Amino acid sequence: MPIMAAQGRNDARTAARLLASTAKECLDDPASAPANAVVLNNVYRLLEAYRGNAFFGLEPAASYYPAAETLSLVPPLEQYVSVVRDVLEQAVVTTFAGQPKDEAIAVIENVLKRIAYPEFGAPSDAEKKKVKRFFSEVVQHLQLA
Amino acid sequence: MTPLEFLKEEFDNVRRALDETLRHDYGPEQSVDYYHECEARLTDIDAEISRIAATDAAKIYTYLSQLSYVATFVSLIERSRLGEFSWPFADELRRIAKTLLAEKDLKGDLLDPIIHVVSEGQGYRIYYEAQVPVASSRRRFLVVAFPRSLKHHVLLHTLFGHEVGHTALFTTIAGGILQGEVLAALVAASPLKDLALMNAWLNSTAAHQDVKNELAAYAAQNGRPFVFTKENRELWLIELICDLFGVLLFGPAFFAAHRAYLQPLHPSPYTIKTAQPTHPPFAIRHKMLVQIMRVTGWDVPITSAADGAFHIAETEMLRFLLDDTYDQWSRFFDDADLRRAVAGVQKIFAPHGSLGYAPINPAGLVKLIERLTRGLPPILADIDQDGTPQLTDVRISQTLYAGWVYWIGRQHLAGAVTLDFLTTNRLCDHALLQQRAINYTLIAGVT
Repeated sequence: MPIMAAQGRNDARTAARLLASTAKECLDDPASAPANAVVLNNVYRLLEAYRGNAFFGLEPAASYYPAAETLSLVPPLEQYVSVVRDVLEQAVVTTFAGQPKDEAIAVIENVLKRIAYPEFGAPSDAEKKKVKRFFSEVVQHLQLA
Repeated sequence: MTPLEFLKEEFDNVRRALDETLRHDYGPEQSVDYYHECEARLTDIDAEISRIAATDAAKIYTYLSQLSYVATFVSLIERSRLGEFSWPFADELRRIAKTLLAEKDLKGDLLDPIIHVVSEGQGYRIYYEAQVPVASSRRRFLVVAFPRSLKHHVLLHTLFGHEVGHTALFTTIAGGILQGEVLAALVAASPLKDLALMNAWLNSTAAHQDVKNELAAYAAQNGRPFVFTKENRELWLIELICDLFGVLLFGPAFFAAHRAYLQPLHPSPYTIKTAQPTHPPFAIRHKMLVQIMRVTGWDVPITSAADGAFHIAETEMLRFLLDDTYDQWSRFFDDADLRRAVAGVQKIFAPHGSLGYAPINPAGLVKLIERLTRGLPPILADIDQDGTPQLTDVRISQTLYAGWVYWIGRQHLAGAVTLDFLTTNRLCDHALLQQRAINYTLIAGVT
């Protein structure tokens, strides 16, 4: 038995929280967004996976992989992706009440694109505010117990 | 040592590990992108660590996780050794993966994955990056793991078609189609339509006795009946989609490998393995592949009776594939739904020209098999009377189709040599290498 649980080293919640909090900071200070384009692009990847992947959040049980495979030098199985999915779901509902999920995600992605790449034009203040609220919700609900 | 000091020490360790790499034979054009991606991720992490307060335990933990994640990829750099896997096949996989698994970024630009090949003790696997990406990732890593003991067995390597399917499911472009029309077709009228139907199917009186026994044993041991969960259903759907993907990518050569490799691992083709029902029973998977052979028309031999022994050998190979005596209980899909699913996957391949399987012409197939009977790699490169080579682009799935026809039908084929399975594989492996040279020549227009 290893000295600590494997999931301690690959917790999807911490990765998602880092992405969401950086996005929120960039919305607070759009001038910092171009320098954080790599992170914002990963926020985009996360949103796309959540939006388009029916299996997003599906985590095979740890026992799915035989013990010998734990010797393999690949990152430990990702844990709590389903929690991340549920938090995103809730944040969409709270922030974009009544709006279809695809539309809401498109709005968020569009704002991220415009702050990361100012050549596409600045997003409206109303949209920025809404998207910031979305990421605030995500960060708040991904706080570790 | 404070937590922040430990984080900084860890960073230095991973940085040193990266600096000490690149001492092995990784193959041309394969490690530079990989190295630079690791380096870029570490640079970002370094910048963030310098801003973390010593009291910010949550952030220290987050960056230890991010660092640990990069460290595993750094460790994998030196696990790639050309001498441990079929690199012509790996090269083909790289081409397929780059084409199929590219994803769009926020700006709409296409980003190729960085494909890294290693050999492992376990079976065929492709490791793609986490569903929730790390903050510093530019291009995604995709690690292809060949089973070390099957170094030369290219006839079995077509099983990677299934693994590519797993990865494709989690990409935005190919994944969108697989999870849209393909998934819709597979759930339209099958027991996988919903969880209630799936459980009803499992408990139907038509279920095989092996399954009834398995369920009874589970109930006796646990004091309650076994029921499928939502997760089980989704995992089964994924596995079936990936089988479908594999057979449409590599054709009957995939199916032959599927049967040869998986059947011995399923003493009962029906049991669901209640402890970990992650995969559908072998009988369901086999029956679906047989149906796909029929709906695509690949169940008909390419050769004709006029081709004599070659035709008999091919017919024998198809008989091996199409042999399906499993209970009707394991038939999940209507032909019409499978046709829709096939069309969906082919839509993914269509923009990329020669990616999916297409049968070779009869004369070409006969020539490929004939070369194997003489102990030669199956390529089409005759020299004409003027001494000019007549080169033909044979797809990998066609070369391997010929390999399987030779192997399954070899008792019908007269030839100078009789090959064992390993030698058949090695000749096919050489053929893939030579085919690469042929294709370079054809592209350059040298002939």
